[in-house]
Amino acid sequence: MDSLSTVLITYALSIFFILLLYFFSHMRYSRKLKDCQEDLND
Amino acid sequence: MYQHIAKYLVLNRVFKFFEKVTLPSLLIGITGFLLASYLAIYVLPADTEQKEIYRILFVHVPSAILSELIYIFLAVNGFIYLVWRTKISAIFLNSAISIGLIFTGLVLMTGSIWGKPTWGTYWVWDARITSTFILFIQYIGLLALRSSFSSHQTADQIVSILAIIGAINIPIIKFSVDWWNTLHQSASITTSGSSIDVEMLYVLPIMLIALLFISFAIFGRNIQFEILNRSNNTRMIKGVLNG
Repeated sequence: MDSLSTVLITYALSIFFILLLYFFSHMRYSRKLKDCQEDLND
Repeated sequence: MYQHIAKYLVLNRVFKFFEKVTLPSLLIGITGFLLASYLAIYVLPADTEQKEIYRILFVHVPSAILSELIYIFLAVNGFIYLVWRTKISAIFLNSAISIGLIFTGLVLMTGSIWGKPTWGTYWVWDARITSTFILFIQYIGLLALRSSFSSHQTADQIVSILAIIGAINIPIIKFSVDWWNTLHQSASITTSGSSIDVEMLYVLPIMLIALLFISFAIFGRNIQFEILNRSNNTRMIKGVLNG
């Protein structure tokens, strides 16, 4: 693998992991929000 | 009584603020990251010694800066929480740990990838890399501790104390390359100037700001979760959700 491909993969992996964390944070928040709204409706 | 109302109003405002800014912040961050990546990979010239591989610098250095800044942020909030018992500081602290962990992981990952062609090895136990690895373990420790207690208050106190004690590692990481003989190079940007050419340097702040925006978006979502998770009475949840 040449150096430029290594650089490209590094950048892709970096943004992937950061966005994965955002996705998990968002999912966790959405689930909690849904639970709270259901509790309020009950 | 008044203290309780004040706490509720602050949390309510913080929740609403992050409801508005999280998504725009994420979009600005992603756009900035793509722009900085394009500039770093396709626009900047290759380095005379390291050729193409030096371009990893533009994601490695901002990640390193953020991993240390976030830890300082944790320690400051831990201190504020222990002294003034402000609930919002504990929420800030808990919301930033996972972001610090991911950036420390990225520093180690990008450093290893960069190290192979330049040093001939993915890993070496030199002072800079070892102290950064310890920071990574500290973040994991804080995350594990946070979920080990059933009471928020106990968890917040323990995590705050550990965050403050652990801050001793930040100057060690920073000055490790000066105090010890390391394979890792010494600081490229100092108060006396930069060893990176100005032509290449401008991409670094763009990437740093982009990553800051994305971090802010993650931070916002974590804060919103923490506020809901800690709002233990129905009236408060109703207030937070409905304004």
